[in-house]
Amino acid sequence: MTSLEVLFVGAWLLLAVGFYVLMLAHDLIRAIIALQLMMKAAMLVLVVAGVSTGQTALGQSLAITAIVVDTIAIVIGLALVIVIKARLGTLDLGKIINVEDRGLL
Amino acid sequence: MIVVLLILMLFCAVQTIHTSHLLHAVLWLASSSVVTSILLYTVGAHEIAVIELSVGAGLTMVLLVFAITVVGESTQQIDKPHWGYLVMVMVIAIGFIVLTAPELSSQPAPDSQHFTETMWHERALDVVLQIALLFGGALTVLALLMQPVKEEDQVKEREVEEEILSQMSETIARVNATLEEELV
Repeated sequence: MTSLEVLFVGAWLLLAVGFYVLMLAHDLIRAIIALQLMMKAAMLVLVVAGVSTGQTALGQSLAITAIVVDTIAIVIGLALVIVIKARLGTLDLGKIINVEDRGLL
Repeated sequence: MIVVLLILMLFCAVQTIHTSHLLHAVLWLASSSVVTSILLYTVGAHEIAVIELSVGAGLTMVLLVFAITVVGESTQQIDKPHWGYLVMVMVIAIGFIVLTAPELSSQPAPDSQHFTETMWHERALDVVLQIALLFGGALTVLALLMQPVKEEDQVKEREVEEEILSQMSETIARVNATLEEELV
């Protein structure tokens, strides 16, 4: 296994770990952390694709786009978290998902 | 070398869910970003390593710590590590890799391709779209955070508006009265 193939497997495993964190998250902020891990894995795969075909610069340009989208997602996600906490009073995922049934609104 | 760094990155990623404090989870995410940056430098992507280090370990961590400070930490029970789920998800991922395994080997770059040339000339539209996305994101955050969420704030805003309107109508009435006097 060449080093690039090892890194490719590692990126897939990071995606799997991100999904595991998302499954077990009780809190909304931990769900955002899980999404960050998955986006890092996608960026790793983009860079690996660029290096493996010899076009390092092109792979890096696409990876910068992935990083920018990553940052915007976390910024808007955290703004939503602040608004949800102010309006509903809790960040527990179990209570937020059935908002109307549990009488939070 | 790469295997050691990969195992360290996966360990940091798994520890984000197995700690009780939210701030510790953010620190584990930042350390995972640092190890990712070292990995990227080892493979050959130097500029992306620097950007990932500054954005992942700097900006993301600062934003998350700021949000946790505003929102406040709730003392909840620690999530028990379900190792069975982790093994199942990793096995599914390895299954995907085995089914769709590409042959990867690092080839040398054809010409001396500069990163700045590619990003600013060939992918200039990408950069323009990123700038537009950033502005859109900033405006969204402003729109989300500047609304009064509680009803008391909304009531206060309405009271202030009504006061301003009544003052304006009073001044208009006074001006009309003086004008009529002068005309007559």
